[in-house]
Amino acid sequence: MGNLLAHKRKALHNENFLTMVQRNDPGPSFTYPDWMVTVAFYIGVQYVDGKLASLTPPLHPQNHAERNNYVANNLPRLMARDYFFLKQKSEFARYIPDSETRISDNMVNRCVNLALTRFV
Amino acid sequence: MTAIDEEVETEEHIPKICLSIKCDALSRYFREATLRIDLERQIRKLKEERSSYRDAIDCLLAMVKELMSPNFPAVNFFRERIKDIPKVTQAYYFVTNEVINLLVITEEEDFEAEMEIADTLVELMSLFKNLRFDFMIIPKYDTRLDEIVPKDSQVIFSRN
Repeated sequence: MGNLLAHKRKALHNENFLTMVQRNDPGPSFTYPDWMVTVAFYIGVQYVDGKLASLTPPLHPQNHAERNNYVANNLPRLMARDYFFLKQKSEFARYIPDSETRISDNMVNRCVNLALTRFV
Repeated sequence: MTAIDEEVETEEHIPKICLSIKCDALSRYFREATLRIDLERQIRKLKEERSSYRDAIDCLLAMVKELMSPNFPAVNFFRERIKDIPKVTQAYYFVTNEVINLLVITEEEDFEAEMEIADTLVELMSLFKNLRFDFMIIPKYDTRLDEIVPKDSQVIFSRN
């Protein structure tokens, strides 16, 4: 839980981590596409939590299901769609065996691009 | 006494009542055997019918339970939306801690299709605000479904 600024700080921290990862794994053929997508999601989720925290009254989701509900019902539809897209992709990346062989470089770039541009 | 007389006498001593067509005990035995076989056949048939009725009742109760479930309208709505996305091959759901977990299976990674599914999820959650959802989209490739779909999942949609 935190306010808008706290979530932005955390998002920037995660962005720095992504930059560090990109320096070591610049592509075009990524070694860890699953972790790139996961970091992208954790950037996005901090911006989204920041937006929810800045609502009146502020919303502080306690779990994913609650956050899903808040996002769908309080944020612009396209932003909610992009957040859900990133969330499902990062869960696929984390939980499904061999996901690293099934996430294309193009998908990684799209996910990173979404995280850095759609929620800021 | 001649040899022929002896033979005739021997024949008279052998009781042939059970081989006779007039033997009441034998005919009762066959009647009862036939009756028993018939009854056993009937019992088998009744057991089969009872088993199929039991299956039908279980199926009916499961359908009624699904129809009465508060999740049914949401699941039904999701089915109607998801079936129009050609890349979706299957969809399942299971409920844990009052959260409806949706699992959407696609043939392979597809940015546009996954975006469309994500948009459908936004619509679903906006319409059914009182329910809690979680979800995952899995590009299947050559993975077996039983490796990725939990056993207690229920089918929402399956493209044949």
